[in-house]
Amino acid sequence: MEDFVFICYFEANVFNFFSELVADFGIEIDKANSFNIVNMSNKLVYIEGQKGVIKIGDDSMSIRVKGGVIVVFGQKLKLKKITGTTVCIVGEIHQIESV
Amino acid sequence: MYKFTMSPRNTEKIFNKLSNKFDIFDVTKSDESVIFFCKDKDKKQIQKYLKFYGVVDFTFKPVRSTSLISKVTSIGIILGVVVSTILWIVSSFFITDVILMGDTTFTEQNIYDVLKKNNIHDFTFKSSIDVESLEDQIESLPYISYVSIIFRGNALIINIKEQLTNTEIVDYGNFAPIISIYDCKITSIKLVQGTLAVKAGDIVRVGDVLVYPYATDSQGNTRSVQPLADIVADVYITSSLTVYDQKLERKYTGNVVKNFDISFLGLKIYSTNNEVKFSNYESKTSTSYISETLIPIKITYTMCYEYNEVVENTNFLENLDYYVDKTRQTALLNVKEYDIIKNESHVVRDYDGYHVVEYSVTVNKKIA
Repeated sequence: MEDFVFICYFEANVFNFFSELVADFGIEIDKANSFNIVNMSNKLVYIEGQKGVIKIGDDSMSIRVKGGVIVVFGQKLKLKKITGTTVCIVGEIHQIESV
Repeated sequence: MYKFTMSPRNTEKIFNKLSNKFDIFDVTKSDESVIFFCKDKDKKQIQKYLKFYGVVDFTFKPVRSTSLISKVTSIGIILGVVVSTILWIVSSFFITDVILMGDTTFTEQNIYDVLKKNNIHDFTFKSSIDVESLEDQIESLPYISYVSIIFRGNALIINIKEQLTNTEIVDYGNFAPIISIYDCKITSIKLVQGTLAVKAGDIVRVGDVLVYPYATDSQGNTRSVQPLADIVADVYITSSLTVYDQKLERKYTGNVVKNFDISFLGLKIYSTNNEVKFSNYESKTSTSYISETLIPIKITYTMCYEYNEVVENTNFLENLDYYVDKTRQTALLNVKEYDIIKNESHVVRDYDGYHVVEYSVTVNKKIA
């Protein structure tokens, strides 16, 4: 996980994936109320722009983000890492809802 | 990393607070407890915060780090073991040193010539060396009496025993003459065969011929024969002792500094460097293999023994009897039990700063 974070950090300094996507598709996003989610093969969910954890459980987790709430459903879920702005959830992810 | 375990109350709220200041890892929640991990540096702060937020029933303990550095270190150790094993296996196929053991005074260069001829040098394949053939070649060299060749670790050890030169008999035609090995005075001769070179009463020196290996028949023809004779002589067995008025005596203090080097294939891989602060010391070095296996790891010990030098007066005149007796004992060492002692005498010569005691024992013995 540290390796992954290290790579993301390294990438952020030279290439921001989300910024590139926004620029490439010409989407206008209010940065003050934005969040990003990456789902990697239903094994890992990386949420950027988290504002707080609402619920921690092994079958569902709810994360408050700048524009609402993200609910992750699955099995054997684990909060792999939580920092001031990001959350990483691992496990068997079945569904991700944005409410 | 530190592992924290606490009760599952207000978990989300606490993590929201903690995550604003610290990185939290591997959060798992069950009905009984919540477990999470944090970095070592955050442990104390997190303790404070947990207490501040009213969590009192928490425990924590350190866990093994799985950081990138530790992973790299683990991989490095495994890689080192693998590479060392491969090097060890590969090196066991080669010889890295040729060691000549035994007395090789006259034969050393010839042996190296044989090795060169057989293309044997450092890093030669062991399997390419035909030990039996090499033994035969070396054994056929002049002055070689015995040879054995073995591999020990990565060393090819050639053990040599040279022929002993007979100092009594020198080649003289088909037979050798009988030569005196003593300074002596001939007292009686009983010739069996050969031609006498001395007669009773003669004084002979070491190396003088006693009996020639030939005989002259009645027709005046000379023919080689094995010289045989019983010769008895008064042999002068002497010894001398030089005693200085003053002598420098070494007195060991018992202080020792020990150092050792460990080397592999001639490369020093570890050594101690204990400083020797003695003003006077004697060093002794000994080398041995650490194990009897194929790995040629040598360990060389260097022991430094401290000593003080003390000047002592020998008081020669007071101890004259002791020195005379000591010289006599040395002379008697060369007297056989069955020798008949005819006479004993000693002479003391005084020089500037030293004295010489000479002791002479005259024995009547058979010299041929």
